[in-house]
Amino acid sequence: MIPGTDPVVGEEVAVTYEEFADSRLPALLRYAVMLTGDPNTAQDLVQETMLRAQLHWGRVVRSGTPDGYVRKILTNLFIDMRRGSWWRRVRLFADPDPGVPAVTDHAHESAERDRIWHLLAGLSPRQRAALVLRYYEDLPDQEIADALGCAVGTVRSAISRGLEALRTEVVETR
Amino acid sequence: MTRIEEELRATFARHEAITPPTAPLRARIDQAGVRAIRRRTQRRIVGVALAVLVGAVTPVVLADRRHGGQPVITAPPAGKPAVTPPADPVDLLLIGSVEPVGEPEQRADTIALLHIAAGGQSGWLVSLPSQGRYTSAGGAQRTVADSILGDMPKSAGRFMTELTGVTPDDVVSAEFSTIRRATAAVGGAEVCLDRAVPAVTGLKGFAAGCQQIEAGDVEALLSPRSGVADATYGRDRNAVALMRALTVEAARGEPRLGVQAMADVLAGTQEEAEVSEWKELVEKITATGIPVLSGIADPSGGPEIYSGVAESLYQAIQDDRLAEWAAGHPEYVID
Repeated sequence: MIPGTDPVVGEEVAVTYEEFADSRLPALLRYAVMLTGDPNTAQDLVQETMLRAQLHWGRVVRSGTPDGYVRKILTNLFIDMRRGSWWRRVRLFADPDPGVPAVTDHAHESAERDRIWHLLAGLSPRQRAALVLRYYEDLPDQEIADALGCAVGTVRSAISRGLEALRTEVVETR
Repeated sequence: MTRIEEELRATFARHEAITPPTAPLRARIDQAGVRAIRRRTQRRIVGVALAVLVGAVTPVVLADRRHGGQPVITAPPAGKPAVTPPADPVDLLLIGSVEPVGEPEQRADTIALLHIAAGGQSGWLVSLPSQGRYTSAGGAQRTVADSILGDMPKSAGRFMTELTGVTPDDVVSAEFSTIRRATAAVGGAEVCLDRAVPAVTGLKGFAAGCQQIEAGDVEALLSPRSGVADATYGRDRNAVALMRALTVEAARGEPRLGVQAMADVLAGTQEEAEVSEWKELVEKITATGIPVLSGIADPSGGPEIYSGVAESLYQAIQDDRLAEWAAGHPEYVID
């Protein structure tokens, strides 16, 4: 049985690792891109995630929500990896350009959006993950809390603080 | 929805376009999967070695491994757990690596010989600084790391035999991340450092003296520090001090809890089917009491390892008289 794009909550999902990889790899890679902001780093992250999922596939299936379980592995790896030196190397290239050119109209809007993309790199990994899970994956608080391994209140706080940090930076640069 | 929320959604949607194609990644994952499964086999050995480090399963596991078989769990007599101490001394060469075990770029960042005395009466971790120099059989000056790397594990076994005259019963590699998880399992450990570790190249520093080392500190404590005097000797002393502290921590207070937590971590690296068997083994053995390892490290800072005492030290390992040797050389002992 090949899972759909939505996680199946509370049901036993009989799916092989191969089937899961075939159907879910594109979505996982997109999620990793949103987390890391860098396609190459995202590929490394997904590769490590899928290796761990493969080695413990029995546990993944028994969780009843392979999608959620693997997303949790990926999210935790992202948070762990942000503490590592290789991430800081990547960040050097992802840091925002301090000299934002003066542009107007549609070009200005586009620059603003890219500005937010760069500003995301300045958030803590947990804040960024919370924002991606909410505004890209469209997950409810409880599922975000499951992915981050924290309380719902902590999720709300991380989202609130993340948004506030972005808002402050955007206002300051306008 | 606020404006910033709308802009965030739009930003994510726009950047979906930078997602790379999945086909090459899938190929990479499949290729790495084959290597990972091979590494998992090695990790089973790592599990045994780290269990040895916490002193929990040394007698039973090693006694049986010496005969080339898998560990055999003997049912304890009623009300009393069974322990079969090894009749002969046992030697394991332990290699700690920042890089994943089994990867081509794997290095020998910390190296130690684990020596269990005959009868399981005492256990010793003898540090072998990776950049320490010694004179090979051909008369050439070599470093420990140079000699160990190559055709692993045969090259490591040959090195040990050449250096000490002892042929190790097994060679075991462990990633630092495994040691980090083991440290987390016992809730951190108090490690006494004989000298300060400076903060360099983004790595956290550590003051001299006794301090609590948490899981998050392990890699900083064990990672190489370029440009620091006594870097490799100091790191290897610290590695031995940490390993020893873990054994102490696992035995502190409620030993069963500490060792069980450690076993749970190690079980995570085992085949699923082996987990319950592993736990059962640990439960049986922990009831027998936990020997605490002692460390032996070179305080000189090199460049020659154990300069002036190497011959007597290696002879003591061969003769299984390390306790006696340590009593005569207290400055080399970490306890």
